[in-house]
Amino acid sequence: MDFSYTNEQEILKDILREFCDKEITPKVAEYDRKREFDYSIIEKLHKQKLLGVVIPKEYGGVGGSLIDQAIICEEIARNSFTAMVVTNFTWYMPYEILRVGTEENKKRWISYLFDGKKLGAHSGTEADAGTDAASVRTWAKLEGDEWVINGTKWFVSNLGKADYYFISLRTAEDRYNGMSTILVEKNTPGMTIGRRVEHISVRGINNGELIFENCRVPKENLIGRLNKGFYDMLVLYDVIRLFFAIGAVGIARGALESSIKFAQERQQFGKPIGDFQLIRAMIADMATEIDAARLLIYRALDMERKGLKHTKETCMAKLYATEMADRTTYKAIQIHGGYGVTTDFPVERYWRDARITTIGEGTSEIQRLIIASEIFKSEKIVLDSALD
Amino acid sequence: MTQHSINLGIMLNIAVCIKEIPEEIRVNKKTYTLIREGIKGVINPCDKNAIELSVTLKEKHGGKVTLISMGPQNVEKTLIHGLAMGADQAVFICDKAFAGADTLATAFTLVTAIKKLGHFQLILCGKASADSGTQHIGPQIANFLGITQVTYAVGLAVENNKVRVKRQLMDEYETVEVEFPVLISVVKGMNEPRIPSYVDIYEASKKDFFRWSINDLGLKEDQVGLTGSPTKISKILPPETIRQCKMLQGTLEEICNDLAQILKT
Repeated sequence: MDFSYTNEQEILKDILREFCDKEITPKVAEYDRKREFDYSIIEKLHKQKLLGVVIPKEYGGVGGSLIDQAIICEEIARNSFTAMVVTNFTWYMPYEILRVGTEENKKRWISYLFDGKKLGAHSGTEADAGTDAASVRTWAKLEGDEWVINGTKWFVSNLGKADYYFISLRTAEDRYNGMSTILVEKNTPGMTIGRRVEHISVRGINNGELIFENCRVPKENLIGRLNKGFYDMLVLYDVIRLFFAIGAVGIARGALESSIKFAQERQQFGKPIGDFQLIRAMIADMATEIDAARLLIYRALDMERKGLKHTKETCMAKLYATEMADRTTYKAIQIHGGYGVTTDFPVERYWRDARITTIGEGTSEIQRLIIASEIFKSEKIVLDSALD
Repeated sequence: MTQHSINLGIMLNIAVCIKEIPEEIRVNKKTYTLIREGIKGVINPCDKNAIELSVTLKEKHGGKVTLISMGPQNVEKTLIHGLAMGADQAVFICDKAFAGADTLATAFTLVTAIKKLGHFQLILCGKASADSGTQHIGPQIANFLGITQVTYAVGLAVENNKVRVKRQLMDEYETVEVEFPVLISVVKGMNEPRIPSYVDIYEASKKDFFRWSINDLGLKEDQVGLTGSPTKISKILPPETIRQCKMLQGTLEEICNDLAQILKT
């Protein structure tokens, strides 16, 4: 068991820091204030071959390791969680196809979608379908060689900015055996952008409502197996959740680094506040929890690399990392005192961004239910036991 | 070899001497020494400019770039970073015997490696290291090799087998023209060092990487490291910083003038 980074991974961290210092950090506060994002970052990351390194060479990627991908996500999130979430949508969906797509899907879509320019979006949530993902009511019905989609999706990230959307919807009445995923490219007639929602986290991301009214897409846009979309989603979550969790680690690290700097500079009672034991205790807890979260994530990624089942380990990592980010960013504000709640310092943004991490990609509550379900080795489907 | 280099008949063999420094300078207030343990190592900033310059020259004129660094085991990463930026091979001089070397012993060891590698038209280094800042190494290497040296370079062009260098002096720039072989020390910010791509990092690990010990260089212990160093450092102390708040009074113009005066001094 080797817990150290390779030389290459250390350099990867260094170059990401350089890249972020130059291209992301100076603009972060502005993204947040104006609720905008500088999409040119995608092209710049692509030039550095830093987008979706896990995509294999045969599909236009570089075939990098899962840990390298996690390093990239953490370093970007350390500077801007918004930037991590947005840029991950350039490779999440190609990766989804790689994991759960059919051979035809892979040939038709991966290279086409993963071109270093296209931005994707994934939509599962509806007004009455969130944690209970199987209750979606957006329908797709096959008419000839086309799917006809009707319904309204909610909390769609990259709304209006994405080049394509992966829509989780219903293709049959059966609760779990009636869900599928269909790809809809932008500007497809019948798909319209609805209301953009305001939120306190990841403010640079467009997020809101996507409306389908007799939207027609080719039959080949079905991603994965017909009516097995729910099960495909569970498989996918085992990995995707980890990249969301590592983003939480990135946020927490940003908060810790800012706190250390502040504690060394801020003088009270004639000495830096970092000399006081209560501040030091907070810093020690923050640093310890960040490392613990990262190690949980790396363990699950290592199991993925070895082809082992890691649903429980992924949920543990996601649960711990995201709640840790919430605790850590709270402490960061506490250390910064009054300055912590001003927009002159980044910690209030870290705190706001950390808040979504315990909700997005599965709430803490559902992570706990899945972990418990795995521990008790329930034979019933996870969500059924959760809802019983 | 590029078409350009064929026309000029130049194939630049360039050596770049680089140093890894701690990312943050911290001094142990009890032992008066630099704390290196637990602090990340990075390429000395102006050495990065030297690497960028070497790779740019190679791309324009053809040739080969060799990185040379002396230091403890973890310096390997710094050299691989330089290879990822586009250098062709790296020489890592590492041996316990080299520990504690002053600038003279360091320059002597580097020069021994340079001689072992062969002939270089151009030897580049940073103006100074950000941790010790002596600015000794470049001039000492040139002196040991008996070649021309140009310090404080902010611009450089190779034309007709000559090098034209723009130097940054206290209050002015000076342009000099010199012939090969030459040692040039460069100023931080003379160019914008490239950020290697993900692929470059992994390709760098496949490039030639040599580890040389005291035996590989044919040196004796009394010529290197602490024993080969005439300089003995007794104490390292951080500069004292005093925080003082001063409220400026008067009209806006008076306040601005006072502020300008404070900033000048």
